[in-house]
Amino acid sequence: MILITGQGVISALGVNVNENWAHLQQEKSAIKKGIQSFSSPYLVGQIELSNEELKQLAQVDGDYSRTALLGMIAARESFASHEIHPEIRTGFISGTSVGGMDLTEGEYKNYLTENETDRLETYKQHSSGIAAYQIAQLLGATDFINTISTACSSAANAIMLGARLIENNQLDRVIVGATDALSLFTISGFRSLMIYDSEWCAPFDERRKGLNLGEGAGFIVLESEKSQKITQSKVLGLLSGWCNASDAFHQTASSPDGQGAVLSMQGALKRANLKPEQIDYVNAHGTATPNNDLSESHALKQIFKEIPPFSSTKAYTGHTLAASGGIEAVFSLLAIEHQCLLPNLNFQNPIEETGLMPVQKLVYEQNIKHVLSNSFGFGGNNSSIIISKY
Amino acid sequence: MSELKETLKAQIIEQLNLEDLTPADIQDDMPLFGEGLGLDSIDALEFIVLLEQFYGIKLADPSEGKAVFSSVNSLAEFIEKNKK
Amino acid sequence: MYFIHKASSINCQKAYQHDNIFRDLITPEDYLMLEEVDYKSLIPPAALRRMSTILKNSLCAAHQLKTEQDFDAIIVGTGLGCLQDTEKFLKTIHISQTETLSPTAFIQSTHNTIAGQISLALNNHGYNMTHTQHTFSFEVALMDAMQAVDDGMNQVLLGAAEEYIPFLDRLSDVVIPHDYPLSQGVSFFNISKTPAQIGITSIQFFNFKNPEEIRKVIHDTHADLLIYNGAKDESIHVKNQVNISQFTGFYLSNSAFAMHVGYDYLKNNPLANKVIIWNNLSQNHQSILVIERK
Repeated sequence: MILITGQGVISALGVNVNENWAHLQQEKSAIKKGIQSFSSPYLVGQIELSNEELKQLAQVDGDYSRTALLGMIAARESFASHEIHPEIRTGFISGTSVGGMDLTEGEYKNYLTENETDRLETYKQHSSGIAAYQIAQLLGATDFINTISTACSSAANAIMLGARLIENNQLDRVIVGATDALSLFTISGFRSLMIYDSEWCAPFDERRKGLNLGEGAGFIVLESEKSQKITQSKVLGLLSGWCNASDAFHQTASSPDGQGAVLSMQGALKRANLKPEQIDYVNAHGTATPNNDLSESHALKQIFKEIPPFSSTKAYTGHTLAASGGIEAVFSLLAIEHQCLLPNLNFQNPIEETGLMPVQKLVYEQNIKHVLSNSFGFGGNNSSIIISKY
Repeated sequence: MSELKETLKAQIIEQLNLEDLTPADIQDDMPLFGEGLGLDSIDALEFIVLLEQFYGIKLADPSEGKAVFSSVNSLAEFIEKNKK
Repeated sequence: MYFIHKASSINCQKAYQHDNIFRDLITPEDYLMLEEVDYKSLIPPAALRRMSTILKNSLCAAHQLKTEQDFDAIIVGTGLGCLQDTEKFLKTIHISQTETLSPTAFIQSTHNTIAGQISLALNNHGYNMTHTQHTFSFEVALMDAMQAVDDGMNQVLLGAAEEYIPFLDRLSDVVIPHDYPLSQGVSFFNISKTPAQIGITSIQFFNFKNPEEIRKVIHDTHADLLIYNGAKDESIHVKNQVNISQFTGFYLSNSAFAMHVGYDYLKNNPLANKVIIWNNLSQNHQSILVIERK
């Protein structure tokens, strides 16, 4: 049994779990016009704190990428009730899509357009694994340090690897999740694919045009039963299922029938030893791109005879890329804690081809035992995890 | 028009990294996607960039591209009609 | 148990389709001169036309290792990922005058392009993972491969890949201190629980640990050969030592090539039993990997 004994999150909704939960209850999107020069033409889910302010919040000083700072804040919150213990092998597994790109892209511009006046020291933060070293050292969780980079499924894959390392008795406890800061690089990237919506994104809606990017980090603590007996940490839930599968269809697009998504959901259900009808809520990937939402809808229809309540929370936070699976793991835990269904904001009309209706209002007094959370990345990298009530 | 088509062929080869081809390999009415030249959806996006970069034509909705990019003929016609 | 069934590398050595690269290691004149591989015979032209060096080489290595059975897992480690396309897209966003941007470089800039392209080329629907942990990128991928075997996946394709761009030379002294010239390379392996001659015994990570602790583990292992990639440690008494960076140049996952060399050494020297691959590129983060004749 893999226990979840900690959670931490920072997103456009707030800088900790409580702020995120309070904002989720307001049923309002946190996506706004960007406040940084590179983000100002676009709608983004940003954290309205400068890097200096983030450093204060993270209680650190020095050269760090925004990606690392966001990761520090969420990872530290998740580990707040924990301590390093000589008998408990503790690891840290993060995920990121572009690592220190938030700093690199600015310096590189100085190199290209300002007569090579770039500050070379800054590039030390570029390598995507650096943030994980910094965060792990901050927490003292250094028995195993790793970073996953599978684009938008990174956090889900970090969670999955952590669970497998505990199962195979390589670790007793591991902090898992991911972090990604907004960057011109990723905004431009999704613009170049012509799937960046200039309006508020509308997941699973017929008129959806694309995503809005966001930034943030989400981490949870996984622990073996043996370790939890020692730490006596409060158990927030169980990680009962996980699976990663490859769509092998196209470099960026998902297959029309959602084969990879079907495989990952099936695999996670099998691992959790659950039947599809036992899933009480699906936190969908739901990026609001025409391709993803259609493909995911088809996949949901193949897995579930009767579609369970589902929603994408990306209309709240924006698509936080690597971090999305970590943030949404915390949202899934909140849905279990408060026995509620989270709404899919900005929804008006179902996709004609599939007709699926997501949850549109926050509803309480549900009986939520098992939540399935999907994360699908570039290159057909599909991951599903199942979080269950303890 | 035929001059435009020849220029287009060279630009297509350059923009889409089709180094192994020469303009002579691309016939005016040859389907560019699927069976013919075998281009894919990423190339379709590159075509949109090509139109803006060389001809100042903006195609806001990628779905419009399907008909426009079907052959060198259709591309040339579209450019003639929309060139500023 | 984790057995190594085959290895394939492309870098400045002549390792591709070679069965004893240990014997034929040469100090290259040009560390950036990659061994020539006939890409066209392995990669369809439609895909090849867009591919950067790291993608072409990784795909060729993967093709060389594919078996009749589909891989259950494709696991790749890379320190800096697809740098050619990352830099190309950075140039696009800073210089481009058009509103629409060319997407190809962005699509191929993500670290997981490598493993993703392999899955596309092999039409593989299995576990597909990409790790990036600076100098540990190969070792963490290897750790995942070992878990995959423990989880019951029998055919695992494990690899590490790194790409050089001239821009890195500017960062040489400040960001990446190194004793050998910057370079690039890929190394891939078939890992399986099906018995073979040589297997992986253990991988140990030392984050922020005392060097004495690491030396003790090395001495206690009694290996026939020690391959390392960072600075030579005079206080280590192992008779046969090879600094792999001398032969590969410096790249973040060159310890993967060290495993290839160690594998060829064991395969071709029946009296030798054990090789240590000591990744000491970084001071604070070192690892000891042991491969052994089974």
